[in-house]
Amino acid sequence: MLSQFVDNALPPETRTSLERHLSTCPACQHTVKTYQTITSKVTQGIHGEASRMISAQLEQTFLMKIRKGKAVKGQQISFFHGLIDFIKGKKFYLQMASFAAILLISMAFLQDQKVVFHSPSAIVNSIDGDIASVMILETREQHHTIIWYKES
Amino acid sequence: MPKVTKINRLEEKKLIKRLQQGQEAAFQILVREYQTRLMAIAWGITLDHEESLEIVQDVFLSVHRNINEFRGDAGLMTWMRRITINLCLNWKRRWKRRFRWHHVPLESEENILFRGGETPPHSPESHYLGREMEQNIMEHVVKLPEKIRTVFILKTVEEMSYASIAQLLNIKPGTVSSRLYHARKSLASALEREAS
Repeated sequence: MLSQFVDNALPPETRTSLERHLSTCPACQHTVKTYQTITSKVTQGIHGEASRMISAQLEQTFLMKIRKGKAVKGQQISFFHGLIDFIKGKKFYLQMASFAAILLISMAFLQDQKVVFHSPSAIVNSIDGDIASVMILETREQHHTIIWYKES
Repeated sequence: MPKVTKINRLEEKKLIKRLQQGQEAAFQILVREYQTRLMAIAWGITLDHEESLEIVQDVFLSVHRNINEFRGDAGLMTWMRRITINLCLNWKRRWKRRFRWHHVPLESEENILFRGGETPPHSPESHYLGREMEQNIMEHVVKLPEKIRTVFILKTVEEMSYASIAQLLNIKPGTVSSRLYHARKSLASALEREAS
């Protein structure tokens, strides 16, 4: 509770009651004083240590890193701008148009080259003799193969 | 103990604006204004000069990277303090430190809570004055377990409330209180032993 008292972290009622006790208790007064001294000395010690460690080097290194970062960013931006300039150039449009034309022609050509079986393998014009049976074979894409035959 | 940072809220707002515009001079001010405070936290937790410098450097770089996302709901120092502590408690760094420091074993917090009793009378604080006492206390602060020391540093150096420390470290306010008690009691006992 004395530690909380030093930190001013006690509820007002508890604090008042503890203050009343402290006024008559040298042992607790002593502890409070010790805790306060410790807090004050630690704060001084840590700040002192931190101040000794601080050097211009930290600032310089940090600023150097920032500049380096900016330079890299700048390079990225200039590359991006260069790309946009290149795209905007007339030569680029011409090249793109040529490439698109070649691509379209090639695709059309390849489309024609596609192997499609759409003609019959044989055409029967006439059959000699009586037809005994007819067999119709359905194949893909609605191609029908019709076979007439007669058993002798 | 007066705070090292002298910047007020209005100046801070202006500084944030300039930082968001990417002004190098503003970053220079940022470093000069906050480096000692951040260094105090970093060294208080890590107890390592080189590592503290590295951490503070990383904090400023993080601010530089993320300043445009900073909305200013909390203060700049609150934000940087959080980054500093996260970096200090980073597991890799902690692992590295484990080989460098030999702390006294961490006592069970429950035991601390139920032990009760304060420092006995005839405490030797009156025999220690000035710098010598400061050095003695600091030698014992270094030996405190990291969890306890972190809470103690945030309370003494940053004067944070129990609730703020609890929120920052994701622990209960009661745990903050017990760790602070343990830190003070350990330091007071150590001084007493030396005096006798």
